[in-house]
Amino acid sequence: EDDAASAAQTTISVGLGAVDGSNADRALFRQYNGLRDQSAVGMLDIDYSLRKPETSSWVQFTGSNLLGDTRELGLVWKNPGSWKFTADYGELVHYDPNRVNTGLLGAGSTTPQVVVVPQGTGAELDLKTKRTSLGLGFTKIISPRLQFAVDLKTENKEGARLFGLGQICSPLITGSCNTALGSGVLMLPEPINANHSQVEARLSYALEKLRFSVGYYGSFYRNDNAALQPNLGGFASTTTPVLNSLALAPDNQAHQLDLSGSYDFTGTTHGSFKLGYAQATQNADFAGAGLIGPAGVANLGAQVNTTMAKIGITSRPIPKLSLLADLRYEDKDDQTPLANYNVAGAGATAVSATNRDLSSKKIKGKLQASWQFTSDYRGTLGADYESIDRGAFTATSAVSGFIPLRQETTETGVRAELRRRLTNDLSGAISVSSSKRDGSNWLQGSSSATGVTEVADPATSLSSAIFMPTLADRQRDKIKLFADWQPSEKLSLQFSAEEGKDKFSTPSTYGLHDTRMNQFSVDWGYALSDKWALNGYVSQGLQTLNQSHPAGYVIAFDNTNTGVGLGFTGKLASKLLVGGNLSYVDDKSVYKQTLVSSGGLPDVVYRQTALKLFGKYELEKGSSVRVDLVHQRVSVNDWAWDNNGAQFAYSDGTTVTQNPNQTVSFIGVTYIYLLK
Amino acid sequence: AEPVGAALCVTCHDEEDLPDMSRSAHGFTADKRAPDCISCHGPSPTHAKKPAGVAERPHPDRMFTKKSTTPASERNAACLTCHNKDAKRALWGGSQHDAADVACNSCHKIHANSDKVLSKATQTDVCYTCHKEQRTQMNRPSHHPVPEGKMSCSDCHNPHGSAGPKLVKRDSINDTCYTCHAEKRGPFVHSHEPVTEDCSNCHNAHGTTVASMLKARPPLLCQQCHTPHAQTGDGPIPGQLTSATRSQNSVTIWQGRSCLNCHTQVHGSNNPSTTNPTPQLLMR
Repeated sequence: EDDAASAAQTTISVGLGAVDGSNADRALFRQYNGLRDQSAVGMLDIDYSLRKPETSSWVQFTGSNLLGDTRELGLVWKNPGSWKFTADYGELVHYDPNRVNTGLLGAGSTTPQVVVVPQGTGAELDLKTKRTSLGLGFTKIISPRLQFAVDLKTENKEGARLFGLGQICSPLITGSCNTALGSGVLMLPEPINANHSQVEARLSYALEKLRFSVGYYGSFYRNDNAALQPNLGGFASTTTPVLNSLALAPDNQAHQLDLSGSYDFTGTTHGSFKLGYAQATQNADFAGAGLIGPAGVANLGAQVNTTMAKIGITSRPIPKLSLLADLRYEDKDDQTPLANYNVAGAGATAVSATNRDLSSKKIKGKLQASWQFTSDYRGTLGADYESIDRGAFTATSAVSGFIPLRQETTETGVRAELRRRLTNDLSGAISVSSSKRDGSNWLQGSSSATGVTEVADPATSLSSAIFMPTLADRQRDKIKLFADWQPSEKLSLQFSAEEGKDKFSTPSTYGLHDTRMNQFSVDWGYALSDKWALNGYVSQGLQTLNQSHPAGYVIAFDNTNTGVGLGFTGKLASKLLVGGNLSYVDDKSVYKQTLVSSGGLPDVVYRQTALKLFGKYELEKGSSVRVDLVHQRVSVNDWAWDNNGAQFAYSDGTTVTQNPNQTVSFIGVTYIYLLK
Repeated sequence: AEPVGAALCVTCHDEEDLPDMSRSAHGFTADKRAPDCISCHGPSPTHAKKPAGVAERPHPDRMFTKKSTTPASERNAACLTCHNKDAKRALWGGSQHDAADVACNSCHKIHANSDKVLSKATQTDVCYTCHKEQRTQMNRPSHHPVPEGKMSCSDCHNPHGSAGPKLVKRDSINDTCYTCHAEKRGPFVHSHEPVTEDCSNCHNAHGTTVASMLKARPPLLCQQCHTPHAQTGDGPIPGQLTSATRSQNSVTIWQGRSCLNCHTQVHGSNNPSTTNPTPQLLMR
């Protein structure tokens, strides 16, 4: 056995795959798998392992999809108990499931040229982003007590994604800017060419009762594209201010030092802790990006310092009682200098306004007690607390829009759970939770002045305001049920159900009123025989929300998602293994409205049926052939880009479409050879 | 001599009885830290040698099977005897999984050469055993590449405890998102407060039916905080246009990228321009 375990083992899988369906048919299927528009694709996977206990050496090398667009390579070389070296390389492509037809020249660059074309007569544009990453890691166990680990990762991201520019009104727009489809809006892809490098180093030390580690984490983001500055052609002669310089994500960096660990007070009482100090900065040069800021201000000079502390204690003072206490504190100190970047109001009454100090403090805690009534019966009671202080509103800044603000919110909650083994074959749990959030007095800004004022009677003076759901008073209730039943050695069943509600209370009748979710699922597994096994699940979930708008309408949104999965594995013959699964998803979004105008929004229905089958035949010991079949059908009727034949078109004639019915099949044949 | 300790165990529990784990980390005998049967199951003297007068052989001191009566805390204590030195498990005590009485072997398979939960392609099978809602969400068209096996739950979560909510790997949801989406970190000249506070205010990272994993479709999502541009009675689809100004007609508000057609810098803008309207409106 030792000889077998220490021998080198290499598995090579080489094969060929064929895909049918057009690019449009594969729009959703290809999102992440790299199967874009080629009809044939080569497949190569390698898995190598060499274990040598006599030299304490262990090497693993894996390579997957080596001939495709999403290849991954991984190496682990270690001397267990002494050191470990890791290296990995990965590629990940994301194709936008939409197809763009446009006259735009230089799409994906920072200086594209807008060219007006009749709708549907431009060139096809395939938007995608590609991540290419390289990671290196090294761990050294210096002594049984002391360990050092360092990990480096650098990733390049390139490509383009949907982006754009609005408020462009010009004579070029057919009809008028008020009524034309997509009028005043241009699609300009966001050019992406950035690198993100991260490093993490940690020194860990373990004593008899105390274990702790000191760590550093650094994150460095560098963007080659500082701004998108399109040539708008005729659209530049606009009546509105020229908005044709779009800032792109600035270079930024963050560093964190932390001390974390755990301590055994006694054999039954343990503590854990983490202290962290982080600094995030951003000082990308405005002029270098072709952007002009306030006089004398070269960059934002942003600096946000975050101090975090978390401590937790668990104890079992008597065998039946478990106690838990946890407290987390976070202080985010925004040291970014203030400068007049904004204007409040317009015309002669306009006043300059600064950016905002976004400092905040958060406290979060929980207490929990569990009692083991019997070996089969356990009850838990818990209490949770969270408070957020968003800091005083910066007096020199201005609220943009008519949004009531709140400096502090506090949420308290209680929860209970009973878990019981009813029989040897059936166990279950029920849990309920309820929490309530409220906060400090509401604050109101002015559209023509800086600062905010506290509102004495928000029900009167803010009667037509929308209150943010993240700040509004909220009652949240949830119940969960779970049961695990194994009626026989062959059959196992799992039942799960949950229901949750949020109810918001605000001084006005507008905004989000309530949301609701529920989820029900049954999972099962059945062993037909020693050779055949079946499994599957059925689940249904519901999400709803109700909100009303000052513009005079109420909207209710209901989403129902039904999922079914059926799977099997079996042995058709001693050398032939087969398996597969069939999955079905039906996702329906219903928008109910009370509009003065007739009509309403159509339902959005997404249906996906996927069949995956495989067969693996052992040719001889160590070599086999595997055949994979995938067939996927998707239907989607989304009015985002096309409403009942009326296609959304940008001002320059650009259109974006998604094939409403997509069918794609894939067949792959792989030869697998195990080399020992 | 009569075998003792683990050698005694394998006199009964031979390779016919137990799955092969010779290629697992625990099976690498050259590693002095590698455990034997007794390290995990305890010395179990009455199991090793059935006491006289007892009808059935007693179980070992610690059992890890699904129907075991050994409390999760005792099972976990056996694992943590060795594994508590790793900083990734420093915050296990009191974490959500610890508080919910989840045992290590609820997720990990020890007597095997490969552990499903450690493989990117199969990890979700294990997590979905309890997290059914996340399975439903991952089946939606806009999702991270988890169903495709390009990402796994543990890319974002540390199931062994963390200082952040929902067991996210770093100290906050945003800091976890920034490990792949650092371009959203800023800080920006013009921040969008809900974005700065918590990415999950607008996104559901497990998947939605709306592009970019938004929790609701704009403008509904945006109008949960912001007053709509639309005028009274203004309908949402073509043919229902009324007196909206400039590009703020119903079509551009509801279709295409909706509010993001114009407010394209929804994650924040670093444009310092002071010309009115300033980029505070996140349009450039």
